[in-house]
Parts: sequence; structure tokens; C-alpha cells
Amino acid sequence: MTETWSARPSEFYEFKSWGSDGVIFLCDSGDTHLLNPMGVQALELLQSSSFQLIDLVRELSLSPALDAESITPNSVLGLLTELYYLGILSKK
Amino acid sequence: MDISKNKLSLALSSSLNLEQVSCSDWDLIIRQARASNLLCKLYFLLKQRGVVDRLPMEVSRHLQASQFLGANLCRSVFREVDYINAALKSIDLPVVLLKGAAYVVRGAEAGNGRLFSDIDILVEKKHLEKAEESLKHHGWFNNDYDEYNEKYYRTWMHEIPALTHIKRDSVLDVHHAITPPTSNIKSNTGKLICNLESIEGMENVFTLSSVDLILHSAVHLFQDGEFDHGFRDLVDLDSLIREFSEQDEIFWERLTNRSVELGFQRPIYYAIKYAKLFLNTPIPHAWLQRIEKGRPTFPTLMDFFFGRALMPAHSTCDDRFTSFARWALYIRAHYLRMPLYLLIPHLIRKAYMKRMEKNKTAAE
Amino acid sequence: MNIGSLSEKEFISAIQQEGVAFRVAGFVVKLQTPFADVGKCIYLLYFDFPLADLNSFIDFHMEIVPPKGVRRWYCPQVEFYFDGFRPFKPLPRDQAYAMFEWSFNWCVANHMHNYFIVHAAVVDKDDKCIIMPAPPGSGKSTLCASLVMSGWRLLSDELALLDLQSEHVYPIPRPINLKNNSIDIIRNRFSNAVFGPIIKDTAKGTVSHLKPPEGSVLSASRVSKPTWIIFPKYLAGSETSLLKRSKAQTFMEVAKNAFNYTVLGRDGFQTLVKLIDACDCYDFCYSNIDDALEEFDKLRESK
Repeated sequence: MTETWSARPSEFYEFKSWGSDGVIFLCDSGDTHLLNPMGVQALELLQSSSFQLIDLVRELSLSPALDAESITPNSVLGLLTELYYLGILSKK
Repeated sequence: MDISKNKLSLALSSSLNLEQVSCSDWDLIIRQARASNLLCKLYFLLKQRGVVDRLPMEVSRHLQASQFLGANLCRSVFREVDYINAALKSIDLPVVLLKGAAYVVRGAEAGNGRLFSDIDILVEKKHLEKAEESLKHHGWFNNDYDEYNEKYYRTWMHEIPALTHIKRDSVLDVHHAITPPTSNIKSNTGKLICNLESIEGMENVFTLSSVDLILHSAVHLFQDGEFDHGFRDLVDLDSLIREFSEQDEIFWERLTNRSVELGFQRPIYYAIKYAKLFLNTPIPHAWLQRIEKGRPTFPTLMDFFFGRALMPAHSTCDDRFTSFARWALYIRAHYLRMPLYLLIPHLIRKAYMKRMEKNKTAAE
Repeated sequence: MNIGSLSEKEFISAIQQEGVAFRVAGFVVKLQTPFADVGKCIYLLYFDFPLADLNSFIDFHMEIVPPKGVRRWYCPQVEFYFDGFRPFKPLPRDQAYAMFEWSFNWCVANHMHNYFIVHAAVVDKDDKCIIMPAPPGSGKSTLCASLVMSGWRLLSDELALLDLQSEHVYPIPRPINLKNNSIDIIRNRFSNAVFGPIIKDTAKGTVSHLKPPEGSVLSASRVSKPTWIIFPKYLAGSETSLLKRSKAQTFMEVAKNAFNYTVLGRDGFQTLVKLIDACDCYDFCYSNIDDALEEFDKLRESK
């Protein structure tokens, strides 16, 4: 919970969003994934700066593009863990 | 045999003035390249010479298309090697890559544009059982289990039946030697393992030494009786010899001594002879003479067979003896490893199984 | 000189002997077949296509031939060879012409990776095109055939070929593969429609091939700008609707329908991003062809 999350350098993936959702290409595996609106917002934030979970939850809750009720520490942690195992994020 | 039919070798060895090649000759070159799995290789060689952009568009787009296949293969090789490493490192075994995967991973010229479908690794026989167990645990299985084939491989072959990954469908060939155990030429896996070269940036991943890679390629091509990719394998040899002989001042001495040490003089004689014949591989005269010691009893007879079997597997390179030549060398390869009383029933069974498969396909 | 400049007899004789080379848009195909009925179909449906010199550079060397052995005569079959290589299992003899068409698709999709290739129909008006990826059964081919017989240009009914900058779609107009009910729908609606033989019991059901309009064949060298991506769905009794869809989801669906997205790796991702950027993306539902044609005309006028 006190880990600091950030996006890995862009050489590891390619990311494109159109409005709310987006797609991400993982260079290592060659896989492509659809990112839902929360995933897109989170990745854009983590590309600009590192965040601890609680701060990220707060930032995402402020986003008008997202349903505030769905932004919980659990749901965001689940997303971060998934993106971490896909090789998109790093944590310290 | 009429080597002039092999337009591809003229293009590969830069014997052609490419700007004077006619459309119908380009048609032949591309077709022979595709049939030999060398289209991507041809692209790389022509790109190195700076001529791809000067080719007619209808020709160059086939070459450019093939380089995407090559690049995709290259990416998947590195991924697959990581997975194999995970399986073998967990039981303290090294990943020793052979053939195409080895060339790609060590960045050899022979790896540029090299197309292949399986990854080959070498595991010492004493570690084979635990290696198989760990690979199985990580998802590699023998998909085509057949009791006879299983027994055949375990008794007569230097590799176990091919393993396929359950999720990724990638194929892994696990060798425990580079010649069959009953072959007239016995390989010594221990000696090969003592001379491995590590790969920078890839912990626990190795290939055979540069000289051993060449000897393995020669042994595989001239002992194993498989000529579907015969010309491609000859192109590998040419590439490896050119690159390594330039990098190493005492390369020829090393190659000749090692071929004697491992008992591979005959295959290396064939390798040098036919690489020079088809691809103008530069061989210093003094070493040519040394390699002559591996000459067979009837070199002209072997020219009849190898001269045909090594041509690209395309109808434009065939003559009326080509099928017979390939078949005869296939029998020879089996004869070199199996006694006659077992060879004949084995060949009958193989022919029968092939016919059954063909009839099954027709029925479907 | 096009195929029609030969007599049917001359053409069939040539294709049965040394084979015939002809241009299909940017590709040169050589076909050899001993089957007179296949020769007849090609003559009918490729009538407007230019002949090529047998000594020219040929992209695809194709043979549609009987198998060796007993299946040559008993429950006869047909095989396809691509320059001596047989990629498929044999099919029943009466599917020989359909096998040519499906094999041609295979030739392009498996070899021409210098293009980004999507399994889709493509039509255009005034050089702005609509790409319609769709799984079988969506009514894509019926819609494509209707558009094309109503003045739209046919770029392809199966293969969208894009350059890797996604700036252009390259036409490859060929006979349109129609299945089951759609054969009668088009035949009844368009009296000038020319069809090849009805082929029954294929893996896709009953199929027949509609001759491409001459205008589409003659303009095959003219590229088109990808402007819309539309996923059609025929739904009996439904209202006609054109609804915008998420670009990210369109991306994933087009990637799924692309033959070589994975092969192209990072280049494939970048090419598809550019394509999605350039196009408006819609779901299209219809049950009435007239309404569908009107909707497409409105769409074209909007840009």
C-alpha cells in the first residue's frame, strides 16, 4: 500500500487513447490490450509522475470522465497489479 | 547436374549483375528462394549490398514482405529462449542453443533473415530426464505420441521426439548429442559442452563455439539425410565460414584441428566442397588441401547425389535423378545409424505410415 | 489486351496447357488447370482483366489440379498448388473454381506482408473508401455486392490492403463471393448481375461468384483514402441504424480481423493506430437494402 507506482519507459510499450478508452501494445510479448477509461486515466497520470495508491485514487476520483463510485482503493490496486504484471508499470 | 539452374545461388553469391537480371530470372530467383526458406536471407544480403531499392517494385515487395516474417521470428525466438531458460535454470541446467536459434541469439550473420520453425537445444544425456520433466512442468509436451516413434527416437536418434508448448504452440527439439548414438561418426557431447560460448545480456544462455557450430551444421547436413532445407543449411555454412574466418586469424587451423578431434573430417570435407561449389565460399588453398583428407572413396559418386540433393527444393532445379538422389541419401543416413535387419522394416513402416496419412487427408 | 480479347476456346486451351498469366490489380497471377469448367469460369468472371506475359515476373504461380491416385476418379477431388507447395487438403471436384478464389485470398494474405491486410470488404466513391470488417454471416458480402451494383467502386470483397502508413487502400477487385440466400437476393435485385456457377455443400454452404463491374476492374490502379470503418450486421426486421463506436474497441476488432497484425509487430500497431485516427467508426445494422444504400450515400455526402 505504501509502494510508489510509475509507468515504465515508453520503449517497453506503445499506448494510444481516443477519448475515454485506449489500446496498449507490449513490445516484449507482442500482445495488445484494450484499456478501459480508468486504465487510460491511470496510465496517463503515471506517465507524468509517480504515485502512491492513495494519491492515485484521489486523482482518479476527481476525473470527470470516470464514475467516482467505481474508484476504490481495491479496484485501483487491482488495475495497478494487472498493469504491473503486464510489464507496463514499475513499483518501488 | 546443372548448377546454372540454381539462379538463387548466383544471386546470393553476388555472381549476377543484378541490374541485368531479366523479369523471368527474378521470377525464378524469388521462387527458388521461397522454396528454400531463403527469401528473407536474400533480402538481407541484397540490402547489405545496397541494391534492394534499385530492384523492380514487383520483385522488391516480396523481399520486403519476407523481412517482416524474419523480424517476427526473431522476436519470438528471444521470447521463447526466455521461457526455455526459466524451465532449465530452475534445475541448474544451461540453455545451449543449436542451429538457427543459436545464430539469431548470438547475432551472427547466419542469423540475419534465417527462417526456421523449431528451436533446438542440447542437453547432456545424464540430465535428459530431469530436463524433460521440467520442460513438461513448464508446458512442453510430446503432442504426437506414438509408441513406435518413441522407441525409435530413444534407441536410434540423438534427440527426443519434438515437444510442443501447450499454450504457445512453439516447438522445441531437445538433442542429447549431435550425431545418433549408433552413427559411424560418434559425437562427444562432453567435448562440445566444454567449449560453449556465453551470450552477452542473456544469463545462462550459450551456444556451441563458432567452430563447433560449423561442424554441427556440416554433420547435420551431410549425415542426417534431410534435404528439405539442404540449400538453406549450405547457405548457413557459407555465412558462418565467411564471418568466423574474418574474425579469427587462426580460424582455419582451429576448424581443421577440431574436425580431426571430433572425427568430423568427412562432413567438413563435403561442407567446404559444396559451399565453394554453390556459393563461392572463399577457402584458402592450403586449407583446402588439408581438408582433402576427409575425401570419400568415391567422390564423383557422392557429387552425383549431393550435387542434386543440395539444390533448392524447387522443380526448376530438379533433373530426372533429383528425387532418386534425395531418396538414396535418406537411405544412406539411416544405414549409417541402423543395422540392415532393422533398417528395412523401419523404412517399410515409414512408407506405410506416409501412405496412410495421405489417404486420411484425401478422405477428409 | 484483356482476357476477353481471346476466344473462350483459345483461353481454355491455353489455361489447360502452359497456363495463363493475368493481372489482378497490382498482382500478376499465373494459373494452370486441366479443368475446362474452371477455365470457363475464369473467362466469364475475369473477362475484363488484363492478360500478362508468361515470361513476366509472376507474383503467384497457381495450379488447380486433380490429385494423383484413386481420388482422381473415385469421388473426385481437386487440389491447389502454390508453386509446387500444397497448403490445403483436397476439396470435392465440383468446388474447383471456388478453390481458386479461396486460394488466391490465401496467396495474398500469406505473402504480401508489405501491406497491412484486413479481412474486410472495401468500397469507395470518389476515392474515399469504407472498410467493412465482418465475421461470416454478418451480411457484409450482400451489402458489398449491393453497393457495388449501385454505383460504388469495388476495391475488394475480402481483403483490404493498406500501405503501412495507412494512407491508402490498394484495390484488388475480384469476383464477389456470395453465399446461400444472398445469391438470390442479388440476382433478383440486379438483372445485369453476372454469376459464376452455383457451388453446393462447401464449408460456407452454397456459394456463387458475382462478376465485378468493369469500371472497378479498369480503375484498379487508383488508390483510395480510408475514411470510414463500418461493421455491418444484417438483422431481419431491424431499423436501419448507423451508430458511432469506440475507436479503441474498433482497433481491437480490426486487429482481430487482420491477417498479419501479429507478424507486423510494432509496425502493425502503429499502422492500425493511424488507420483508426483517420477513420470515423460505426456499427451499421440493417434489414432493407434500399435503406442501407441510402444511408451509405448520405454518409459519403457528409465528407
